[in-house]
Amino acid sequence: METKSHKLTGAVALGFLLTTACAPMASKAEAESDHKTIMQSSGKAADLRSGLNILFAEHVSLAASATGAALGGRDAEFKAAAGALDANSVAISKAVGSVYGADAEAAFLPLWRKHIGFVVDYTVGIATKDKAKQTKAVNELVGYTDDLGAFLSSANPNLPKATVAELVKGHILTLKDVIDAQAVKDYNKTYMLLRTATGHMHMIADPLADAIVKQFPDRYAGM
Amino acid sequence: MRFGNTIGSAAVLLLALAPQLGAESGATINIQTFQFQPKQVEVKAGATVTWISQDDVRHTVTSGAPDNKDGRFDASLSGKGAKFSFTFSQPGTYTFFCDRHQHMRGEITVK
Repeated sequence: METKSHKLTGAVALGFLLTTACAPMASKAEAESDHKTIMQSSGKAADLRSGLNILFAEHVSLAASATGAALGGRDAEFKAAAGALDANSVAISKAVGSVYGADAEAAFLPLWRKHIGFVVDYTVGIATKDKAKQTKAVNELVGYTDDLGAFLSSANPNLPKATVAELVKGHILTLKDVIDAQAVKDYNKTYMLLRTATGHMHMIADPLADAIVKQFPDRYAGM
Repeated sequence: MRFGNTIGSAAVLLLALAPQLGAESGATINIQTFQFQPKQVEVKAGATVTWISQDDVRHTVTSGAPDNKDGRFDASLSGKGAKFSFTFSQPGTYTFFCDRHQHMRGEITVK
């Protein structure tokens, strides 16, 4: 039951990501029309979209929980959050694997985990007031956006590398804002920025979902 | 009789060349979606293996393992369409990986 639920969630989340990535390729009217068509005509496509959205929103939420705990010196909470965050990474990879196969899943997971490692580096840099470490981590994160863009673009020609990279960059920067607010214990700002960071994930999940549906229309045609 | 000798010599020559002819066929490994495809290849001694990148990002084809580079080759493939070839003259097992994405690994067996 749990596995089935994860698969469904993964599929839905993946659909959402594709939708957002494709949007810049078409006119706004075309994109809205395509979006309506997909949402109305296919339950499977809608499941894909919502599943991806859930997974990516969860990713931001758990990442912020982990960084907040780390900056607050709450080790046990940090370990628990980091464990849950990794479980989310595995679920996202399984969603990728459900569309592109086991080899792609195996290739995606270490790539995805890599950016979490850079976020940890940035958080440690903040905690230790090590500017050089912070700068290095930000540069690595920005460079990483190219890698993820290339991966998804290679898997799906409907996902332009530059578009994906820009969207992932947005994710990284909005999460960085959250971490910066956590570091100075500005809780109001932290949670407002967390809403922004979570909301941004729709802009990744939606195009991803659309691009997958466009790539495999038969697979997502049914209710 | 003389004709028979000629045929015999030609046959010997072909037999002698056979392993080399086979070795020349080589193998191609595609790099796509951050994977070496195929991950494992078997070739004859003297064969040339060519890696071709289909990804729009820089990968490397580096011999050895991330914690033990053996220095045999270390090629940077800048993006889609970039190629690298290496000829394996000695039998053995040769591992390789991408130094930028170290989960990407493969192995070549030279017979």
